[in-house]
Order: sequence, then C-alpha cells, then structure tokens
Amino acid sequence: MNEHEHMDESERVNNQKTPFDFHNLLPIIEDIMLMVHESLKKIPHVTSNLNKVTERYERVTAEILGVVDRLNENIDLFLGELLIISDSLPRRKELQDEIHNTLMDSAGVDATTLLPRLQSLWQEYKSLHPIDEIIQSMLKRIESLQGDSTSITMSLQVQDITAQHMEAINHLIESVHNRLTLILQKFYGAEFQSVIPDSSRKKLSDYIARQSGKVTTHDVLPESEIESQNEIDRMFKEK
Amino acid sequence: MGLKILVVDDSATMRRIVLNALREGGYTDIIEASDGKDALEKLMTDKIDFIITDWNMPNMSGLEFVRAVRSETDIQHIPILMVTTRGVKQDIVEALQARVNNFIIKPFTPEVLKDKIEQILRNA
Repeated sequence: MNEHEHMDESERVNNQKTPFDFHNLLPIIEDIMLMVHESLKKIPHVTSNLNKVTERYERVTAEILGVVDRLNENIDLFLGELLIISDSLPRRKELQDEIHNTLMDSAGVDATTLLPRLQSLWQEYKSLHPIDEIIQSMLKRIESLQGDSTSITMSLQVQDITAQHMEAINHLIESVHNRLTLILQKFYGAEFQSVIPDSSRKKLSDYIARQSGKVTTHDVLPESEIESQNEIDRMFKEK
Repeated sequence: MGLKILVVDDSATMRRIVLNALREGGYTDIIEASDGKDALEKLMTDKIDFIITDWNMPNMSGLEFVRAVRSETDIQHIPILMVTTRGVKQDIVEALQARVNNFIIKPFTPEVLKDKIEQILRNA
C-alpha cells in the first residue's frame, strides 16, 4: 500500500466515523422524526390524564375530608350520649338502692305510706334519660362510623389508580429519554461514552433490560374509549 | 360464609382495600398473592373457591394469570373476578375470551364487589 492509498483508506475510515455524513444523518433524522411524531401523539393524552389524576385526587381528598368531618361530628355526639349515661349512673344507682331498701323495709308499713313513696322514686328513676333510646342511638352512630371508615378505605383506591397512571407517564418519559440517548449515541459514535452522562447510560441499559413485561403507556393510558361499569355488565350478560 | 377467596394484586395497598371490602361483605377466609406466579403456587397448595385478580401486574399480567388458571385441569373451574383501572372494550373482550367470570373497574364499593361475587356464584 503506497502513501496515497494509505491516506485514502484513512480518509475513508474518518469519513465513516464522521457523524454528520449525509448517509449517516438520514436515518438519525428519521429516528428524530419518529420520536417527535410518537411523542406528539402521546403527550397530549398524557397531559390530559395527568389533569384527570389531579382532578380525581382533589375530588377524593374533598370526599375524605367530608367523611372525616362527619366522623368527628358523630364521635362528638357519641361522646355526648356516653356522658349522659355516665352522669346519670350515680343517681340511677341511688334510686335503685332506695327502691330496694324501701321494699325490704316494707314489712308492717302501711300501703298508703309505702305506695306514694315508691311511686315518687319510680317517677324520678323514669325521668332520668331513657337509657335504651340512648344506647340505640349510640349503636346507630357506631354503624355510621363503620360505614365512614369503609368509605375512607375505598376512596384510597385512588392511590393505586394514580400509581398506574404515573407508571405509564414515567414509561413515556423514559422512552423519550432513551430514544434521545440512542440518537446521541449515533451522532457521537465512539465519543458517546464521554458525552452522555453515566446516569443516562445506566438508565438506558436498565430500560432495555426491563423492557420485556414492562407496563407500556398504552397499557394504562388507553387511547380508546373507557367503558362504564354498566356497559361492562351488559357485555358480560351477553356473553 | 365459608368461601375461601384468593386476592391477587401487586399493590399491597390495593390488597388491603379489597380485603377490607370483602370483610365488610362478610367474607373472612381470604388469602393474598402479590403476583400471578405467587397466586399459582397458592392455588396448588390451598383449596381456593374464588379468585379476585388485578389486571395490571408485573411479570405475569392478570390476563396471563387467568389463562394459566384456565389451562390447569385442577383449578380451571374456579370463578374469577377481574379488577382493573382500565375499562377498554378490547380488554373486556379479551377477558371474556379468557373466561373471566366478571369484571369491575376501580374505584368500586364494597356493595359492588359483594354483588359481583354473589352474581358469579349464582351463575357458576
């Protein structure tokens, strides 16, 4: 090989390495266009879903706060009822003892003296708050508290729904990030290692490793219409 | 109620929510699995009467899990209720084809869950 031939060969190799060679550039531009096209298609959908997630979170938070207010109100009323029972207990006990003692000491006592005395004690006992009604009311409040507690638990499904939406959005961001990294890799060729930050390279390899079985944006953020529970029930009835 | 229910979901929070809803409905014999593989192992060792599974799970999706259950002679008869965030027609068609007994969209109430379980058991 003479010097001229050697230079040609060297030039050819250099040209191959040059990232801005037209033939090298074309597929990169195509990749960029594809990425932009895909992102443009998905990003508005992701934005709309993010807004829905925010709205749903706000609605659920308001619902939970409403339930907590009702819960606190019921706890206060429950405590009030408990206090009524608790405050009347000493007098109740006294009256029970007085009725008991009056009856025990009734031997030889004239009925005209005994009966008015017993009637008076019994009237006072009855005039104390009717404990049965209070207990019934307290039981209803406990049921209401249980219902409210379940309601809060069920509202927390929003966490799972949000997590899935976020995962899909994260997937889209990762996809864009990795496509960009790949494009830069093509641009810079061998110099890629020094140009791309370590974290991006690691993310890229992790992404490629995890791609199989990974939730995709489409999995969670479908572009087609979501059916209502009633529509789903109808489909299952028709099966 | 004597019904042994297997709840399959990768989200521990969601499993707790389903468990609470089931208890509210009077179901107390419940076991949990964090993914399809774990669930299949439990199905081989425990006598399960009913399965409630999430759709979106890593490694093995809910749909793949349903197909796996339906392909095993010993467990293919167990009724399956699928719970999902997505309610897309195509998914529902796939779920029907995979012989899912019914389908609920999140968020749901304990009443809806109980109603669906009873409906499936009546038709089983």
